[in-house]
Amino acid sequence: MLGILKAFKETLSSFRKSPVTEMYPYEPPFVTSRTHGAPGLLWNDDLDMIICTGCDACARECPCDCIFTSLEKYTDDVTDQKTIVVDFYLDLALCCYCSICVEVCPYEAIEMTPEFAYSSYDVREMVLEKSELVDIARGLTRTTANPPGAQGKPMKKGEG
Amino acid sequence: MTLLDVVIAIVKVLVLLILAPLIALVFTYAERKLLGRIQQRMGPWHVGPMGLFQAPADAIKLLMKESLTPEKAERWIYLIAPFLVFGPTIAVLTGIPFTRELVAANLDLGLLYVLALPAVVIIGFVMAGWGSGNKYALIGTARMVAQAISYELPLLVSVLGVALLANSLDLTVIVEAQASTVWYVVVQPTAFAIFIMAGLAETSRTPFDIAIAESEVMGGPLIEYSGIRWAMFFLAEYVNVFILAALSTVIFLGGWAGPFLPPILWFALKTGFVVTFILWLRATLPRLRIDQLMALCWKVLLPLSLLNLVVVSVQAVYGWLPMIALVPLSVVLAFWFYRRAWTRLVMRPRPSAPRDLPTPATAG
Amino acid sequence: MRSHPREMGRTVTDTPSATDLATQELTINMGPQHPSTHGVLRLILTVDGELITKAIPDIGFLHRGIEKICETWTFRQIPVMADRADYLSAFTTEFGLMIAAEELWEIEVPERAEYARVILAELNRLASHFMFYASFGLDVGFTTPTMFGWRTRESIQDLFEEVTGARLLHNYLAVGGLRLDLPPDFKDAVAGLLPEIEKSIDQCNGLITDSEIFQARTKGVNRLSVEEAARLGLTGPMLRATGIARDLRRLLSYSIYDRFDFDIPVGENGDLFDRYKVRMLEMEQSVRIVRQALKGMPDEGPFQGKVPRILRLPEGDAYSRTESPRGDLCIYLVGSGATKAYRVKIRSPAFVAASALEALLPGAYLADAVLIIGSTDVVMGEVDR
Repeated sequence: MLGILKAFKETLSSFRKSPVTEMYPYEPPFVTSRTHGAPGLLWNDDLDMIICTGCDACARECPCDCIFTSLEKYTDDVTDQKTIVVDFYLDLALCCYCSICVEVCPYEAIEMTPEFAYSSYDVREMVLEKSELVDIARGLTRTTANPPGAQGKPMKKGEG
Repeated sequence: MTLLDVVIAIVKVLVLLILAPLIALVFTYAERKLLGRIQQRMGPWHVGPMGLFQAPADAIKLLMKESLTPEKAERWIYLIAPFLVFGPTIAVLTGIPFTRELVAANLDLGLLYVLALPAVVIIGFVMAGWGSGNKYALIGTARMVAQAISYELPLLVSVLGVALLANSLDLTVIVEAQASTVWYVVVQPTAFAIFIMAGLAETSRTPFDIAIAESEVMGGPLIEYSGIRWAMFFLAEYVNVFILAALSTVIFLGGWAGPFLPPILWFALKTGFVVTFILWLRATLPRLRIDQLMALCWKVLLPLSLLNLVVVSVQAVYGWLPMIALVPLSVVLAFWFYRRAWTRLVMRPRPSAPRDLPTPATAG
Repeated sequence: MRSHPREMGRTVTDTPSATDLATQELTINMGPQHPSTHGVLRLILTVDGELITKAIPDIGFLHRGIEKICETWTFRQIPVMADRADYLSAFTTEFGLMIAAEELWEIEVPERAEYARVILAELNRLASHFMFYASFGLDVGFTTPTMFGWRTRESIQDLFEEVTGARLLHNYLAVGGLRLDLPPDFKDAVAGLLPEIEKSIDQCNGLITDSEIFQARTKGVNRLSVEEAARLGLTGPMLRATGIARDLRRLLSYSIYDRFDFDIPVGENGDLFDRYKVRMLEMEQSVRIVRQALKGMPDEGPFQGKVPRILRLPEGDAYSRTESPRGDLCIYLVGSGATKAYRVKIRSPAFVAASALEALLPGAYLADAVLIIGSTDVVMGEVDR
């Protein structure tokens, strides 16, 4: 009997506490600066150009093969990079949000954004192209530094 | 019987037919809200103000849904079963006096009527379980039948004491008798406890919901039902909870009698209290196993209720004086129950059978 | 009226009389959609009334070929897949994998990373045990424990999200340490979470541990002796419930577990109640370990050791044994000089527990079968891999 009474006491005390429910569609959910949402392509605001050079490092390391890139020769002289990205497709339906692409990017051009609310009735709409990925990451700066083990060639910034 | 009487009777039944879904709607809402708050959730809150329209929305959804009949079902038995569960439940409602005037059929044997009729429901569940052509339904039905038939006994015997005290089987007379003396829960606490427990087992509510246990037999007899037929089972369940609460109000808590407030409000208050308690039980207690449930019925509740009946009979014949002997007896009984009865009779640990184990790999 | 399908094809040779009214055994198929088989475990049960006479666990509904996929991926990608083996405690699998990898590469892990790993692994053990509590409460028949368990697990996962960015599948540990540095307020966040966890453990205990009905359902049910448990190959809480204080954290003192002072809770009978109780007590010990780790963890320092830029697995093999919330989690890693592992083998405790069901279930009631499955705490992702 005593144990059952204890259980009643417990339910009564939790009845008196307020609910812990997150009112998600009405209130913004809990996200942190590190939350792994959709990957986004960073934009260099100083030079007003995309950082990505289309080097394909992320596509090679992606466990789920969700990235496709193509590049062309870089002709401007704002930076001394040799190539610039033309196509950058990312299939969010395949992406497993592991952030390996962020880890391996030598130019710090891709970043996991807390953006998570994307869904569609057509799976083909889940394939995001370059401009959409840039829009997702617009206004975002790299919050996490590359770990030393994966540190690649740092990006050289122009005077801009 | 004049034509007017017939019309009045039909109107009364129609009112009850409208009342039954209303009861179910209110109770589902209350249950979900209360369970939600106990579990620190919100419960329904999205549809309508404070989620009030959630229950009607669910009801409409159930009505719109396709009512499937499995290929392996015994078609007619499967289709008729919900009516046999729903019908008697409504019929029981007619016998319950909400107030002195507000009763559909004031019967001289009202107590017997309201407690005996639910036994018909079992037939409906047997048909549902057998007709579904599903093994889980069959197991659930076997549990349901064993449980419901066993618990009829303590349920009936426990209220016999009250009938003796009130000298009547008429529910209105029982309430009047309480109004003139004292609520029977005071003089018959054991009977009240047994009545609530047996009633919960009858209606398959936690902690005795083994027949429809969704983590074990996934709804038992109801497993294959969908749409409006499932809604009828659902309705019957909640009306049964209401009947249990209303009956305990009428039999033990003084019915509609009470000062200041109008009688119907007193009735609603007391019933609401009991219903809240039943819903609270659902949030607090795990469920028993079938053999423990049967042991509790036959070895504990039935002897206790019979003892209670004997005590009341002795009081009726010899007056209050022999009752003094009851005090040490009840103390001893309570101690015995606490120390022995639960662990010896109800828990029933089974020695595990010798196991067929793989032979260990020989070393080296 | 058409005849009942079960009647069709049955030749009526003799009508049964009252004397030879024999009962028949029923074969029921429990799962893979049954709500209390913890995912997609399928059991073919033969029952005589309510008693189970034979049980055949059927696994493989969640088989994704994790071990094979690990052989085709570079080492950087393997943790992504390892997370998905035991999705309720992803850190423990990552932890084991990294210990094996560090043995292979002979990399020193910096102090700070070691402490962070222990803290995260213990928090994950807590989360996993809360999940056990939640599902066990549901199996035993009511939903309140589920919500109590999930609520605190949710807080722990929120912390994980702050640290790793993901709630369930973290991919956070890397060879030689962590992939990213811990957030600056990590220690405060964890320290702030611990009182909530302790309070919640008390609440969970108050709700069902002492409840007579719960004890009636679990005490003395499905007892298991030490020999039986050992012969079935059970490890972790299932083994400790029988009374053996065998915990790899103490036995092997892998990582830095030798620096912490903690008890190994053991049961007496190996029944359902002991298996439950051992896990509840273990949660308190995990909180203790996290407390000590927070005290000992350096505030500054590297979070990753000296790691080669291109992760080429050296030739050789390494075997790591770690204590996951479910028992001995062993990972065998074979390198052949390539960036891809030659072989990754996961010895998962839940797989052994699932296979033990065949011996555990016969003789039990059908209602207890649900509890026995719950008490083994199988995670089907880990069983099927």
